[in-house]
Amino acid sequence: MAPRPEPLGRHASVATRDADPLSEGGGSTPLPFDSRVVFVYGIARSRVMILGLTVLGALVGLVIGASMPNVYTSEAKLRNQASARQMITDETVMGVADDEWSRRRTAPGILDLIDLLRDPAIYERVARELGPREVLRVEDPSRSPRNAGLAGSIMHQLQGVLIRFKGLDNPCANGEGPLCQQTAVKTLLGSVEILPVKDTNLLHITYTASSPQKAQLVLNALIEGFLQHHIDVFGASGKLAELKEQFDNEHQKLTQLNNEYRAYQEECGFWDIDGDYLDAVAALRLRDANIAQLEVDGKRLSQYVTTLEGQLNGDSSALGGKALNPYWEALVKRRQEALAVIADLESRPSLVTTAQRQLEAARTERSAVEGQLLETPQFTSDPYAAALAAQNNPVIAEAQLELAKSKSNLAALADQVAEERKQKLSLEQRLKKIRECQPQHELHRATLDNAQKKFTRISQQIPELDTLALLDQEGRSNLARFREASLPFEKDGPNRTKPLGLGLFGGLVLGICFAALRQLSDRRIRYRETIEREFDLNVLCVVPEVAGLEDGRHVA
Amino acid sequence: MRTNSLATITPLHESLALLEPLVDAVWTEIAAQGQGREHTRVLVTSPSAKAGTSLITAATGAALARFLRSQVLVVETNLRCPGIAGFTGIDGLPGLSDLLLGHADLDEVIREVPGVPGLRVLPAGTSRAAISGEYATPKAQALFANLATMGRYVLFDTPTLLEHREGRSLFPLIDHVLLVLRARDTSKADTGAVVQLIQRSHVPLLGTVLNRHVPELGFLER
Repeated sequence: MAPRPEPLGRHASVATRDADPLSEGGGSTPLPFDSRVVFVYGIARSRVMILGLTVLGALVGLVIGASMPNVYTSEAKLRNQASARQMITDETVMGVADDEWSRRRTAPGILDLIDLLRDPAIYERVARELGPREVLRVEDPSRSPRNAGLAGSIMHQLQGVLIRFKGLDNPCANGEGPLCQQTAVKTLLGSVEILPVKDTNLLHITYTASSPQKAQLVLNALIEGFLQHHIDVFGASGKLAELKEQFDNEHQKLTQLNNEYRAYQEECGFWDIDGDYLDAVAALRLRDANIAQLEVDGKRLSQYVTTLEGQLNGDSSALGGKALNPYWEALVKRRQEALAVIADLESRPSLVTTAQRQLEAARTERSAVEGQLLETPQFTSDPYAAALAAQNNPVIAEAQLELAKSKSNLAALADQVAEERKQKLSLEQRLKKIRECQPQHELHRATLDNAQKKFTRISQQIPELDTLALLDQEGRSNLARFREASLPFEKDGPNRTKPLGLGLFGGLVLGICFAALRQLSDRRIRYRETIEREFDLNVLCVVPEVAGLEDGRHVA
Repeated sequence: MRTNSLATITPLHESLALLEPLVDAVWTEIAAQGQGREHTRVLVTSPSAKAGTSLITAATGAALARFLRSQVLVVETNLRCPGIAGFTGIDGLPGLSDLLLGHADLDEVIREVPGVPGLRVLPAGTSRAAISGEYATPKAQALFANLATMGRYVLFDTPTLLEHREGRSLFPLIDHVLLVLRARDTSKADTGAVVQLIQRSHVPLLGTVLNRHVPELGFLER
């Protein structure tokens, strides 16, 4: 027996496989399954099922498309002319936008107008006027007298059946209750389209319905609702009433604030707090100046008094407070006289005898006086002697008089200073009270000023609104019909190819998914790719099914 | 169901000539693997019953004998369901089952296929259930060893190895295994089990034949 060779793998085999671009994936991460087997063979294997599902999907799409009601679009245009009425907004009425810029900024634009026209209140009113059932009712095309040809008639019949089946021709079967009303409003909102026309002040409005007449009818009703709503919103009448009410309120408020302010003034004691404050400050400054001047005068007078007292006391400070002794002064005078006599007599030699006697007498006198002088003190503390000396001295008397007068003036000055200080203290207390009252006072005044401004503004606005309200009474709106609602002759939809295409595509995808799942869940071997990929085995050959070759014969 | 033109051909053994081109790759591969060998023994089996192993074996043997002018012996070991005699147009009795029971001689049971020079067939013989371990007895092993040398190419047609284990006794005698899979019938699980079994026996797996295949895509399918 020949030696057994090493086990051969698939790649060592003579037979080779062709490259499989679908299953290998060109170098990228290989898929966990063979895409050729799963998709290509799967689609081929389940082609009947895929075809069936595709046809089924197309049928479903066809039925859905047929059940969609016809769409007719009525068109209309509205023209918006901005005027003074539209400049009066809630902001201006409330006083938020006082200046011109703010007025323009808060004035509604075309987009605001579109928002306004999408107010559900309009649609609720229209739904009530037309009746929710009429709004929701879908027109049965099979009952239309229009000649649509054979195919169209068949389609219309189918549509009619589906519409009746779904009950769309008779909505709100349980009565036009709130739910029905709500649905009708939603339908109206969903069917209307409001767009601005570029570079104009026009609005293009369309409404889609299941019949041309209905589209026109509802659009006319909606436009009527728009115009009425516009007057309601931008009309001056409502704002005038509101403003007048505000006027009354503001008047009451102003009166109340005035009363409160007066009460506070009374409580605080200042009617004109700013004037009072300035007056008090000025008075205080004057008092300060007076006090300073009085103090300067007092100081000067005090120095004068001190000087006078010093003069009157002489060297009293050096002589122990004693007065000049008048006896001593008289003696000094007598001595001087004696010395004068002596000098005179000694100058006359001819009169020696007489003179001699007299001389002797003078000398005696001198000696006596000098003797007395030696015994008499120059100063004395004897009050009597002092008074006698003062009486005898007019200068002293005058100085004493001046001293007394100055002292009196000094006392008066002190009294004045005290009085001034007292007044200053009073003024300071007043200023303090003013300062305490001032913040509250200013708050009161600011509140009062604001109220006054608002009151003034409202007073000015009322005549303006009075004029504009006349336009409301005439029913004139700034939003006007530019083109009436049209009666459409051609239908705009629905696009029935869309559900048909979606159904077709959906069925196809579903069928392919089914085919792929069928392949992935297959537990049998069907293809050579399965053997090669899952078992890594060589497929040497593929023998086709030969009918009758094995069936009914001896087959291993 | 798509059918081949062979469906109209009778008798059956004549169809082998037409099947031969379909198994070109098989006999070519066997021939390539047998280069330099005196004898090349190939076991043809399947993970499931009725996969067509007898037909493939017969067609391959015929092709080897016809195109290589070699001596080819086909041994049918599927005692339960003999069929190769019908494909080759020979008398099916007696055969291997009779030989193993001693009811016939070796020369008596090996027959030449008419019209295919060099191709000899040992049919399964009288149909019966195999006896457990029948192929593993020394007598049977000696017989198979002898049969393995009776041709340049010796092809053993065996039943499925999963259900009928007697075929495994032939592993020590053979050089290659050829696996026949029946499309839309053979399960992936059975195939995996058989492949593992062959790998564990360390016998090289030559390749597979996908039999009774119905193309889903026609000419687009490989």
